Amino acid sequence: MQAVCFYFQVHQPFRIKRVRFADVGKRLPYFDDEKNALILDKVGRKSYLKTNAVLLELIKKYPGKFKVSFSISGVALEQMRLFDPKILKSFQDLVETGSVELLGETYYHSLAALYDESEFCEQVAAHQKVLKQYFSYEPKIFRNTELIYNDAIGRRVAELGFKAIITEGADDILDWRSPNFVYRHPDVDLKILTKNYRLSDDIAFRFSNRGWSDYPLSSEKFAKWVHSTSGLGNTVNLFMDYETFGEHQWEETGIFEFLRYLPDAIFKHQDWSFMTPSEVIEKFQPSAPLSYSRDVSWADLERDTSAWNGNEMQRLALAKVYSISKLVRARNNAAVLKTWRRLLTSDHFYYMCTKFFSDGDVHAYFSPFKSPYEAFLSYMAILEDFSLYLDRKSMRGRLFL
Amino acid sequence: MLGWEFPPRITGGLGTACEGLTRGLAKKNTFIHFLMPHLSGEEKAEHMHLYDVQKGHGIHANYSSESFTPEHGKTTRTSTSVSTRITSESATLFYPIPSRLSPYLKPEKKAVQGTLSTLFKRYIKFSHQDSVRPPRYFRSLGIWQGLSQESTSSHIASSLESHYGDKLFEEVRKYCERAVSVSSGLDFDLIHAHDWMTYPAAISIAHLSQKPCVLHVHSIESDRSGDCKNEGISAIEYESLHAADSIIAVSHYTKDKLIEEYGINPDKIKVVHNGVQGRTKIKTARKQDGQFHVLFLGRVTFQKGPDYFIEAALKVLAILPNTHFTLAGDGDMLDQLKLRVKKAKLEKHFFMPGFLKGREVDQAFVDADLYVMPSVSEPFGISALEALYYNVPIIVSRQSGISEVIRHALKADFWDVDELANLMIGALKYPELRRDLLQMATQELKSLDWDHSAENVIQVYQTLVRT
Repeated sequence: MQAVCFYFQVHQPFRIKRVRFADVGKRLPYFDDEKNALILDKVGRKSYLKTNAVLLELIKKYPGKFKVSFSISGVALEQMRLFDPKILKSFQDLVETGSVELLGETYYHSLAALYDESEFCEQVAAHQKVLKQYFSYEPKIFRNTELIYNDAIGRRVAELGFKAIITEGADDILDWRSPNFVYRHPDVDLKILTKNYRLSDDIAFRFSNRGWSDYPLSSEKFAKWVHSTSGLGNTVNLFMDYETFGEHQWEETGIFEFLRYLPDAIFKHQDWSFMTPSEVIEKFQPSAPLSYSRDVSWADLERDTSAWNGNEMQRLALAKVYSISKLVRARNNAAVLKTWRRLLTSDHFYYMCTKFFSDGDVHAYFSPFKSPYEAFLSYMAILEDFSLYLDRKSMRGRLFL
Repeated sequence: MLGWEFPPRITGGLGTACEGLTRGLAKKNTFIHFLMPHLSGEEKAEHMHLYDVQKGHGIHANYSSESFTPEHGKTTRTSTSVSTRITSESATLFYPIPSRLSPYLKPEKKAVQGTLSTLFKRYIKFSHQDSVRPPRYFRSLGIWQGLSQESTSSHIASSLESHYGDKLFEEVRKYCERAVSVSSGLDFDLIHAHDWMTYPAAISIAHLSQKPCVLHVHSIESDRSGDCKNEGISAIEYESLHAADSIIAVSHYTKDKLIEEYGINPDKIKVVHNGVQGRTKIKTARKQDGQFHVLFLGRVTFQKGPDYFIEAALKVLAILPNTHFTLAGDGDMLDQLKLRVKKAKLEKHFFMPGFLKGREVDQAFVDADLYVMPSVSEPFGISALEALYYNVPIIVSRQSGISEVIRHALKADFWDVDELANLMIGALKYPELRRDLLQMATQELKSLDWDHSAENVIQVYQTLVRT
């Protein structure tokens, strides 16, 4: 028996407003509710609701046979509740079927694993709490923001009680090994599922690329590629952004049809089935220890963290925001803490990424700012305003959430 | 090649561009006769033949007079179609044509009755010297003739008066006349002319010689004068550009304006971005004193948005009082801006040295922390590239050609003074941002060299000159 293991990332940040230095001290709202609601509405209509409907249909068609897993960030759930509860409801319906596994992560989709260990633990706990609240669910498997991972993060995650982590199957880490086996942490009891990035990216990035030699990609063709790994592993881990369906790959590309007919095509080979990460680690023993000696992520060709901390602006912004942690906590105020944590969301730093800005590629596509420099300046102006607020002895003025 | 200015005596990017481009072309074995209104004698142009059309003969930088024989000229012509036969000797000759006036100088308040009339009558006279009148010029000639008859009409005269002195038109006319005369003794495959002052000459020479004509657009009248356009100049641009065989625009920004304002066929226009020319960098004499220095360098006229610079600067000072602003350049708005700063009682933060040249320009660049170009309309903006060359990060208006080629710049709409101020504050506050900007922009700068521009220009030549 071999498994196709689907994992989808659902995340929406609280995007910040454009704030100018002249506005520092005016205590303007930091977060762009209007834009955030608009984007959630758009992505909800184009992607989440439609894909959820297809998945629900497949789960009902193949009861107990078709399974997927999700990681939904706390800030995404919060925005669904605030702006569009029907999206939340449709995820709840999916989880209700029992064929869906939910994974743990940081509530704020932050980089805290790299910068602030205790904050990391608190955010993981906050996420567990919200999963319990909305889905009555307790996650057993972890995935960190953008699949960022190293051995130290593995130890921390094991300490928090997770059985496994999912991360990128980076070439230099796997070396000669295949991503299609279960691995384990070299020191602690933590299993590792590695993304099969070739097959994952065939769907997530290349699906609608007319210049690609395998365009157009049919469910049958893809299933054949999956089947060709028979005997060469236990699991094909297809990890991707959930927005792949309908948002990155528009409906017109045929992505929903592809998904709809994929199970049929996969089941044509009797040895194959769909499993959740928990089922995979239950079914298959780890083949070997796997050490991640560097910070790995699923981003860009480098599969490192440079999309978030690769330039000086990003490192400065990260250093500044994590440096006010004590001041924030000293306030002992839920709204202050929440504001700060929303500013920790990784997307703010991603918008400041300069490395591919020239090509106007994926980095630019996802940014609400016209340039990484504008993203940085707005963020710094907000941070300045926030620091000023924290510094003041009196609590004059209020924070807008 | 027909040009109006050449370093070191320049008023804007035009001369710089002519030097960079001709050097690039010469490297690619293009033989250039470069006709100038006049020469100061300070020009260094060993790469081509530079002519002073006033004197009517060429100045031969690197050649002994006997090497420049008609035969030599025959085998090494402007054309790139014969480039393989051209040896490394290839060079440009400058021919100066008398002109004391810059096309950008501030207006002279004098009546200009009849200037255009004279200009075009002369022009028509040239045209008539030739019995063969190719059909493609018919329409344009007709309109030009009409214009010459109407040119005494008040609207043209008054618009001329408002923006330029009559002497400029007189110079353009003389240049046209003399350039035509000089060209008759030269052997060439095509004509390449830079900006409106040389267009009448180019079209005349093309007509007489039956050689193709490329007009290079560095700016158009609406860039220079906004809504107070000089109708005479617009008419020259309109007619010449329609008559030209091919047009080179310095940016897509300019190409779009040519299509929109003059109705030029887009297929005729090729965009060739300017480059930046390497030079010896000098060192800054500045000490680390915790002060910020912001530079504006350009003509202090409507087009360059110096007033937006000053307004934004005043806003910056409210937040970063340790900032100093240099407004380098001359122009009709300088007095008004000095007054504005005086009123705000912030004179000690502003340095307005007027027109800078040569080493002073280099010094201004190296001493700056930030270069700001808030142009209202900027076909390209070569000085912003020079700033980058000096490792000075740039803020440019979105209404600029440079915006197309340098993505790693801070950008604002020219009218958005608050944003302009905000970007200045941010860039000054955070050296991290300045370093990131520069690191990335420097890479973009590498692809903008004149060799690359010259290659694209040669492609245009090749479509026109068939062997």
